[in-house]
Amino acid sequence: MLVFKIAWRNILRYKRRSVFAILTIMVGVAGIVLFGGFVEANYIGLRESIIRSQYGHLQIHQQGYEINHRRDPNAYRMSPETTRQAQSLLETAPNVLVTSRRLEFTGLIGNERNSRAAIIRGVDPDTEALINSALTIVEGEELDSLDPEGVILGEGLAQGINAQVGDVLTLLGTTINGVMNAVDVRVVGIFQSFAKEYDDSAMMMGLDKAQTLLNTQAVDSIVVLLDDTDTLPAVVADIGGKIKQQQLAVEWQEWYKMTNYYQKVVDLYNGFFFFINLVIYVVVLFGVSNTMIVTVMERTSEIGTLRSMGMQRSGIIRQFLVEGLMLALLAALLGVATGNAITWFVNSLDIMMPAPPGSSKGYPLSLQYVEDIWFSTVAIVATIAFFATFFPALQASRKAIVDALRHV
Amino acid sequence: MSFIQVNNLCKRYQLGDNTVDALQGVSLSVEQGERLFLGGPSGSGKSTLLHIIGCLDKYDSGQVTIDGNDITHAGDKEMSLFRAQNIGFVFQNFNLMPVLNVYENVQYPLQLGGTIPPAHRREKIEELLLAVGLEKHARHYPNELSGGQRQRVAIARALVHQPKLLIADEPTANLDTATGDAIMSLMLDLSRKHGSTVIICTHNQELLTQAERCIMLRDGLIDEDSTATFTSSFAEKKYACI
Ligand SMILES: Nc1ncnc2c1ncn2[C@@H]1O[C@H](COP(=O)(O)OP(=O)(O)O)[C@@H](O)[C@H]1O
Ligand SMILES: [Mg+2]
Repeated sequence: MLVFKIAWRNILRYKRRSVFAILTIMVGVAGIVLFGGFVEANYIGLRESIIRSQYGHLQIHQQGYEINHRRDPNAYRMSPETTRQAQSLLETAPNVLVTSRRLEFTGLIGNERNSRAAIIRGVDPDTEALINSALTIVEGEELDSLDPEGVILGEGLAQGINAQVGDVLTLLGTTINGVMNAVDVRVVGIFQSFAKEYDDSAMMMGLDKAQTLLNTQAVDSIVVLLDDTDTLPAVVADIGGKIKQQQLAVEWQEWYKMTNYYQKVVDLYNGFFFFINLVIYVVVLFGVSNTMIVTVMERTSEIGTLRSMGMQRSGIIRQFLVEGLMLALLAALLGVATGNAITWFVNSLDIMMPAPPGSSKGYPLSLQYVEDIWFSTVAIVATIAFFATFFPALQASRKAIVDALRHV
Repeated sequence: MSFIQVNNLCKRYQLGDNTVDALQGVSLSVEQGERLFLGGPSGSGKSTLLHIIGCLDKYDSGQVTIDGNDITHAGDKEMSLFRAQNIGFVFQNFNLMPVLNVYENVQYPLQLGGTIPPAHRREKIEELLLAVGLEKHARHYPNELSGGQRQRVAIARALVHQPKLLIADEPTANLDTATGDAIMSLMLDLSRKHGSTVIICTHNQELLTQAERCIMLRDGLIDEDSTATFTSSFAEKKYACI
């Protein structure tokens, strides 16, 4: 089509101006692609950290647990029978990597000199280790199912009671019948989890020993870890159906319902991202309109000539629109390509990211390739180019033909 | 009825507080196939008259009919369409599209309208390039051509869609005398072959005196029409547009 040929040749003809406009758009788009990939990398890093630090993808509880367990923890635990049924159901579901039981309670941990209230979690040591892959042992070792006396303490808690690895401590708790009970435990490790506040009072121990202390066979939750976070909705739908079918008296909660921290961080980053996009798009708008205003002005007498040959006003507008859009689309695509090239390069550098606010662990930087951002950026740049071109072109097309012809 | 009929044409330009009466009651008629030369001092209204007859500009009063079409109240779309099909222009500054080569420049009007079916376009373009002696320059761009060559391209472009009317506003003003003469006779020859009516405005006195028909303008009025069928008094014309 002639209109494309003319547009393309004009882009080449006014090289410096075209290069300037293309570079403006390219840099802007590449910036958005890069920053978008960075933000997405943060979301994913944060999400996976949260999931793997304590929540799992999904937790199964006794029906009514979420509303009532704080008021009456003993009454809303899952019986061994329910637990077994739920676990066998989960373990045959696709994408489920591992399930692990937990018993949660509070107690006093300490020695003759020091003691502290602790949030204690009795776990299946072997499977819990898989779920807590983001939990770092800073000293000593992980829990071991072959060592039922072993416990690990959060870093803050260990400091609070001045406990070292190898120390024998006394754990005081209340049985489900309301009787005080005590067991001796030995510190085998000290850990850092995702959140510092948690580490200040957290302790983990083998499930069997915990159940002994509380004189119960029940558990609070079954924590479920999937092989891929993206499959969570499908897994929930699948499991939900089966639970209904088997009439199990359980409820479930996805990881993001257990903490609002993730959503807060996402909102914060989205705010940054939006603002940066806005700034970049304003720059692009000025770049393109400046280019197109000059382009249209410079070709005033050409417009007069085309009109004298019988081109309609719409034909003039079309010619410039094609030109503006061609320039912008070319630049936007180059920008996306550049952004991705830089993404690839940065990822190949293996950079470690500092810990996000409120957490104690960093994670490797892996900028994401976010296709949605490519498409939306190209679409927005095209829209901007459309308007940046349309108005100068409209104005030019309305100019009296004789005036346009006289224009030198 | 004549091919072009202009009655009492008035055109006034407003420039801030200044008004310029560019045409103050011009009447003329041009027959089909006629070749009319327009002369007169600069600022006398030649271009203004050509633009109006060429359907490029509006006017304040009077009437203009071309090939039976009264263009007084025509809208922009109709006028554009009418130009695309019926009128060819040759300008003083050649006005070629710099990004199109010679062939594409000549081809351009065919995309905008006209009656030549696509199958015959190539033939028509080549015929015209041959006629203006640029068949070997078809792939050249305007900036690779001399002024005379550029104007030849412009002539081919103005005639390619077989317009009924060819309008040339000082087509030789930017050319040396010899080239200008050659361009002028080429234009007259070709337009005769195509059967187009021609209106040319020029400062070339020689041409004006030799012309079959010549109209001299002065201050927006017809000063002299060498084959005029009627001559109205100066006073009549002066008060014709109020
Ligand atoms: N666009 C315009 N605005 C204001 N005045 C104009 C315009 N075009 C032409 N004129 C005036 O109208 C008169 C006739 O101009 P023009 O038709 O160009 O004369 P010519 O072509 O014979 O030199 C001149 O006085 C000129 O200054
Ligand atoms: Mg003039």
